Amino acid sequence: MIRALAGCAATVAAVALGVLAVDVLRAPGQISAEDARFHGAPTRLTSPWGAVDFLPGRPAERLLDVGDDLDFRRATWLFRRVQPGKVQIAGDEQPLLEALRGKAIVEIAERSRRESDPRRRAQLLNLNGVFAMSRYLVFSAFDKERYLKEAIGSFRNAVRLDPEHADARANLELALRAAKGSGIAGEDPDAGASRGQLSGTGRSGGGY
Amino acid sequence: MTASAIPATEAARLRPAAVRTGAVRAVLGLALIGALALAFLVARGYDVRYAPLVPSGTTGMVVLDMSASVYEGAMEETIQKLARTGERAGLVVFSDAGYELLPPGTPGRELVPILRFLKPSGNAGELPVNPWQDFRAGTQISAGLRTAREALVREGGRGSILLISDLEILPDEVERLAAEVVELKREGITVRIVPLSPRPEKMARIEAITGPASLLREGRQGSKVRAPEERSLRAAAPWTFAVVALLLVLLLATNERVLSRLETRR
Repeated sequence: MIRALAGCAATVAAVALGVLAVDVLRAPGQISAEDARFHGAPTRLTSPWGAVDFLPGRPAERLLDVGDDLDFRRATWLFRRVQPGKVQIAGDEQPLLEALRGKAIVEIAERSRRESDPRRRAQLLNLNGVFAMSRYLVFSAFDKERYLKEAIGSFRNAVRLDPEHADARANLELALRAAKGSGIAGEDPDAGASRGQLSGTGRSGGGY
Repeated sequence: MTASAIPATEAARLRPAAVRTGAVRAVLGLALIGALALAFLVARGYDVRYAPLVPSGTTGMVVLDMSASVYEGAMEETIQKLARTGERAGLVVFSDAGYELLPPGTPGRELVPILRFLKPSGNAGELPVNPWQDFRAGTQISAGLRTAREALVREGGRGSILLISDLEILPDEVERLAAEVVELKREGITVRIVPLSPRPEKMARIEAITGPASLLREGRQGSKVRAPEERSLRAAAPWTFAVVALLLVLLLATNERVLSRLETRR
């Protein structure tokens, strides 16, 4: 009797482990397929990297320890879905896009704080800076300075974490140029003694 | 040997049993004291209020939308609940700018007099004239949240915000609001929202930004304002205390079973 019960339990466990193995083995392929879809038509995807494993509770994701990778991909997709300057928030999809834009701002800011990998963090900080910069370009004078400072801070941190990040470097350059134009204190190395933390590195002869 | 003890001629043979009993008694005694201390500490950690709107251990700030186009019972229900449960909270009113009316830590009952300005009166159901009449303009939730955040940061400690609004915001406000939510998360301030008859798409938009757990009621009119804890089984009872109390009872029962006084027939 005990042998029969043990046999049944072992069979059930073997089947469960087999199913789990299949789930784990197909996960990398699913991720690659979603990656390909993202590169092909990012705005057509509705919930990418959502069905990487078919078992409930996402055991494959946990066993492969790809949760962070997928979260990073989802955050990047969210940005691409509502990218400022490229995606027009209008038409039938307006409410959805507005919601996604708000969600993207929060998600990317949060992930950029929590991400431990410096290169990924630099990418997320760059995206965060792009959002802040878009707010700077759109909103009234009251908020402008705050948003520009936030954008500069994000780009600067991104460059510090990944000096090879070309987008972040270019964005920082643009943001600093905008700061120079708007006369934000602390961002203009050439502007004299009272203007800036970078005055020491300014043009030779420009003084402190 | 004391006078009350049973006289024995072979006390040495009973020594191992005495040592064992002593050890069991010491272990049980320590376990009982530990369980009692644990029960005390767990009980101290609980809030005596059931599912308060302002989360336990936080300084609350009510952020009230003065541009709300509708009066709804939920507004009164929320403020009355705060007053009834003796919660302490500050008050910020906002329209397109935020204004701190009451500082954090104000007793909830102080919020009740504000209600008379927000409640329609007379046959025509018009809102009474209030001191902030000229203040009412568009809805910038971000402005109200920012004012509340600044007050909470000034106060120090953990903060929470209870936003009461119809959530009727323009598209450009979505980005400001999202940016403000990021700031609040950075400061560790939680946001709870009492929506006043919002349209489903507005509700979905706010839900995407703040998360579904922040909404204290469903969108439809007449639905109850309930803290998230009220909806979860986890907060329905003090489970941790119940487990510790059960452990205490089990230890006492074990003590009675193993170490009870030997009863002899006379």
